[in-house]
Parts: sequence; C-alpha cells; structure tokens
Amino acid sequence: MDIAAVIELSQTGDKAAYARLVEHYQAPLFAFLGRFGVNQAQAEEIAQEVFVRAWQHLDQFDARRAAFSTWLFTFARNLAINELQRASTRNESADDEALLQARCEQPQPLGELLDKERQRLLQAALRQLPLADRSVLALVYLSDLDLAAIARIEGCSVGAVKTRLHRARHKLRQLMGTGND
Amino acid sequence: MTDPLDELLQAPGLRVPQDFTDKVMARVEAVPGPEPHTQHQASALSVSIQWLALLGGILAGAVQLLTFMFGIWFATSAG
Repeated sequence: MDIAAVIELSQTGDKAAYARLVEHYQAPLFAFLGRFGVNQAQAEEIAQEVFVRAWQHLDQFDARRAAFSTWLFTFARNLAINELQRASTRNESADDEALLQARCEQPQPLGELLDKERQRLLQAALRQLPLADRSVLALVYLSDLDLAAIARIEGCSVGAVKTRLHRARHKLRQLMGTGND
Repeated sequence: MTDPLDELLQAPGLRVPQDFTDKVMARVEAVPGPEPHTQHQASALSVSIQWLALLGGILAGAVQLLTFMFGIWFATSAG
C-alpha cells in the first residue's frame, strides 16, 4: 500500500482511503497507547478521538513539513496525556488489573498466564513513570519514528529524548527487577 | 540475545477491537471532513489582504505626517 497516495486521497475527502489509513495505523497506535499505560477502554476512546481529529484537520497536514506518523502521534500523545491527567484528578484506578485478575481465574495455558502476568507488571510499572518519560518510551518503539521525529513530537532536543529514555528504562528495570541497563 | 524488557515493550499490550475501523468511520461520517485547497487559498488571500491593508495604513500615515510637517514649515516660514 502506497501510504503517501492514500494520504493524498484522504486529503481530498475520500473516506474509503481514510478507512485504509485507519486500518494501517490502528495497531501501532494501540501499541503506543499500551506502552503509555492507559487501559483498554481509555485506549479505544483515545484512538477513536485521534483518528476523528486527524480527519478533521487533514487539510492542515503538509507532507513536506513532517511525516504523517509524526503528525498523527502528536495528536495521540497529547490526547493520552490529557486523558491520563484527567483520570488522575478523578482518582481513577487501573481497572484493567481487576479485569486481568478475572481472566486469570479461567483455566488458561501456563505460557499465556505468564505473558499476562508480565504485561500486568509492566502496566503497573509504566503507571509509576512520569508522563514525559512514559511518552518518550511509548514513542521510541514505533518503527516509523526516529529520535528526531520523537524530539519534534515532544517539543525537545534529541539529547533530552535520549536522557528521558534512559531514565525511563532504568526506572522500569528497577520496578520490574529485569536486570541492569 | 533480545532484551526481555524490549521484548515486553514491543509486545502488543492492548488489542485492537475488530470493529474499530467501523466505529471510527461512523464518527468520521458525522463530522466535517478536510477541505484541502479552498481553505489554503482562502488563507493565502486573507494574508495578502492583511498585508495590503497594512501598507495602505503606513502610506496614509506617512502622507498625513508629511502634510503636518509641511503645514508647520509653511506657517513658520510665512511669518
């Protein structure tokens, strides 16, 4: 799929082309939101909002200025931070933990259970990181984005991105007990 | 050897719902879409008009200042 052509078609208001864009970016977007430490329900809400806003502002996207992924994940990052800040002021708990616990009560293969447990630990550890560090960590595993693009999304220098990343990984290792950095 | 932390962070922690694209497109149907060229042309036109208005204002101000200075000079030299 030629993404550039699909983006251009979408910019003319072609909804079928935009649906293809949504298909293309939804998996990386959910992976990004998962690393951000949001739960499944929040992720669905944020991801929908990201694609709706991107559609509304698609005429403002200029491929000469930034890659589409940089543009899209800027929306995602800002919406995720807003949602997490709102949730923390409402003092919401991580409801996915209860959900995972309930799922664990059903008989499941051991490997699957271990994966879920590791993910649960990861989510709990991620939620303890500062939002700025979490954001860099969530972005850095996206194959479409290099450090310069991440720095652009974060509004900081590449050096600052590297520092935040190192700090986040170090803290995560400490929290999860997965060895040295 | 792969870093276990990297492996864990790369694993999809959340699942994409099967009907996700349909839900997004249903919401997209309800909102206005992009208007690529007309909006850019309109904004370019409005910027041009703003520049013209600014130049016009500067010109009018300069003419008024020169007229005032000429008036002062004329009044003082006539005496």
